[in-house]
Amino acid sequence: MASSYNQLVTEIQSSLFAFIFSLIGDPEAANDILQETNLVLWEKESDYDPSRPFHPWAYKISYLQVLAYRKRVRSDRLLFDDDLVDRVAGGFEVDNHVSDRRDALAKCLKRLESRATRLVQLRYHQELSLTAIAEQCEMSLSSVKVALFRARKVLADCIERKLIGEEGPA
Amino acid sequence: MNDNQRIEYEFQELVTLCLEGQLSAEKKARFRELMIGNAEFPALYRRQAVVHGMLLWNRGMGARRCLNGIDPIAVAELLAEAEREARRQVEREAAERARLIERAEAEKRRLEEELEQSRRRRPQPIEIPVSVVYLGAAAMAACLFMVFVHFASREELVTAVAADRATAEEVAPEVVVEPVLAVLSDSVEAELYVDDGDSPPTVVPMKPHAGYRAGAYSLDRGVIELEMRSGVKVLIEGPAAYALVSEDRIRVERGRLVGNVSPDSIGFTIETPYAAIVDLGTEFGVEVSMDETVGVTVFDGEVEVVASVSDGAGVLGRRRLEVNESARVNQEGEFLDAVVNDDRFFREVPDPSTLARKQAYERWMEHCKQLAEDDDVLAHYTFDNQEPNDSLLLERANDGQSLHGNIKGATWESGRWSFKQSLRFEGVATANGANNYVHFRIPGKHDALTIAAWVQIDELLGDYVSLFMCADYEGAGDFHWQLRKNGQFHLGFLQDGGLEAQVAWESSKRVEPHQLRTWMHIALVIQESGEVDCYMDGMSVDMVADPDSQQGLTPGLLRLEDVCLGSWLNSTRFPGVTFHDLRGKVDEVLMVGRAMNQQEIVRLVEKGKP
Repeated sequence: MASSYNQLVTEIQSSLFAFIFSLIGDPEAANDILQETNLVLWEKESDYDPSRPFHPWAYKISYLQVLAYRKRVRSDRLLFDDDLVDRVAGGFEVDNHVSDRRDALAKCLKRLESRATRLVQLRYHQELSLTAIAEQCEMSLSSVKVALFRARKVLADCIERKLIGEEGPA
Repeated sequence: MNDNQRIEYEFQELVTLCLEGQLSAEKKARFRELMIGNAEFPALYRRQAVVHGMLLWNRGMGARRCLNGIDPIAVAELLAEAEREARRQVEREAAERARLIERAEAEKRRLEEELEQSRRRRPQPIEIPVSVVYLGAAAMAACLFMVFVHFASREELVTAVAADRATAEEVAPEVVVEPVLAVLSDSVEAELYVDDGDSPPTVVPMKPHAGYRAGAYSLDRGVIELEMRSGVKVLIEGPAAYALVSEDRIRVERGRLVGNVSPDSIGFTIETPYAAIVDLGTEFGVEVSMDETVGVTVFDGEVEVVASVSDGAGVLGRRRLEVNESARVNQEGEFLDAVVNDDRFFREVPDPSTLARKQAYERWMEHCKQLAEDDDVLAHYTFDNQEPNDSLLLERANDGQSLHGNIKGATWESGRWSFKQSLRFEGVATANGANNYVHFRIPGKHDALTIAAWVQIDELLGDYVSLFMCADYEGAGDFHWQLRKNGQFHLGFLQDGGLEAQVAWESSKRVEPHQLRTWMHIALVIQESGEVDCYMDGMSVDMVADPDSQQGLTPGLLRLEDVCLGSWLNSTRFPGVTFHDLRGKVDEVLMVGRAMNQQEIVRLVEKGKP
């Protein structure tokens, strides 16, 4: 039980991070909240019923940690008000196929067109700033922002198609 | 571009800025406005954020910080922060309560003063207006109600306190909580205690990722691996007493420790009573022994050993150690030549069986120290901490160089435990010249004697296989302790009169074939009364006197002044009898000037069993 629980907690890390990040918009804070979530997950290990799906339970715990974080932080430092947080979180589909999603992302990255691939590499692999990317690619800053948005949209669409089987197994 | 397209373009830019954490207050407001104004935007944003989060995670944003999905330092810090926050909360509550009570009392005083002034303005007998009384009572009630309401609901309290956080923090004293310096990353069969020296040690539960603050700890048994906040990994083997001083400093009073220091954490220091070991980017072991020395060995990289005793004498010497180098510092801060055996250190948390073997070895070491306190011990050869080229078998109980054995031909190998040594004897028929033996010169004559050894016999060859043999075997007191080809133990002893007055015993029990090539404890005990016994793994083998020999021994003749282990140097004196050198290994020899009883022999077996 302990090892399978450990595996579940470990596997869901990237998805929880993405979920928390979407509600907070700050990677450092998202990491902190993820750690708090992990702490609660470990404390509540004995409460977990293995016959029930783990992911919704873990997401709920992380959502409560997000709310707790929001209470602690000054409101002007928060990205969204309560209403918007509910809207973003409310539409979130609990991801029961974390490893499939990861695999899909890896495959979809390979299918990006060359300019988008370059932008993604510069931003997420070389960790360049938007300004540095604009200089390197000889693009306006505004174009970089939009191009990155579109690259991520292509990836999101591709991942979802793969997960529902439209493009074959991920 | 129409309006909708312009808004979409704007939204796309804002999303990227948002994900990069670069939204100004103005743009944040606009972003919110767009998110609320368009029903599709929250979902669009969510999908963007999820992909962004996954890409960040893949890059290592999260994974780099996590161990099995959990960053142990962060988790420990969270625990510490939660504790700090709880203490602050208590302090805030107390301060808030005091503030409100003070306010209520001030209000009461104000009303009393008003009443007093009212009395002074009216010289007539005073009739306190009902309205004022009611006002005073109402104000008091209101204040007390405020206090009550303020603390009636914890949730409300938290809200109220948060709203008035500045005031609360102003009045709440700063609660100082020591930061977490290290977290537990692994352990095996560990018993750890917090030991502040004033109160009884407190057990520390072995929870994964438990955090430890500055302070003294006692690891009674087992092995723990700590990950310091600085990133240094430290493996501590019990029994050990140590203190976490800071994220890059540990003080070790006793025990064995291995530090694995990344290049980012150069300067990590282990303090000990007699030396400080400053890491220069490496993996190294430190051992603070019960013999009042500090051993340092370097597995990788480089360290500096700074000898300095704690009596304020300052730095007494420095030595840089590189890979495969070691040093030992004594309590005077002097560097000794003694080696530090790398194999003694666990460089990773062992499995329980490996730990059990090591613990058996430690028990044996402790027993060796006890034996060294025994005045009857004539010599104790532990075969430990010997170098591959050593030609002396070091005597450990009496510190007498004259007692060291001289090694001829026998070579060093691993012993009962892989991290200690034994001597291999490649025995041949001694007619071809003795070539594998250890020669001892232990002065004195004794009324009784015990010789014990751990041996591994490969083969029984010739008529007699030599164990302990007096070199001459012609004068009174000389003896030969041997094994017969059939596995019987044989003892020959010369009384006054030399070979003509020989007494001999042979065992009724034998070394059986299945006992060959395994570690076996053998012991010979000669009583003051002249009785002889011999033990194999603590069991008597029933020595029976040769009926042709003279019975009994003459007291006071026993001597070890010229004795060889593994060979007889004068074997050609008995033509027609083949004396064979020992073929096998020996790993400990104990010589005691009294007859040990069976209980003591069994203890030797139990304490030395691998």
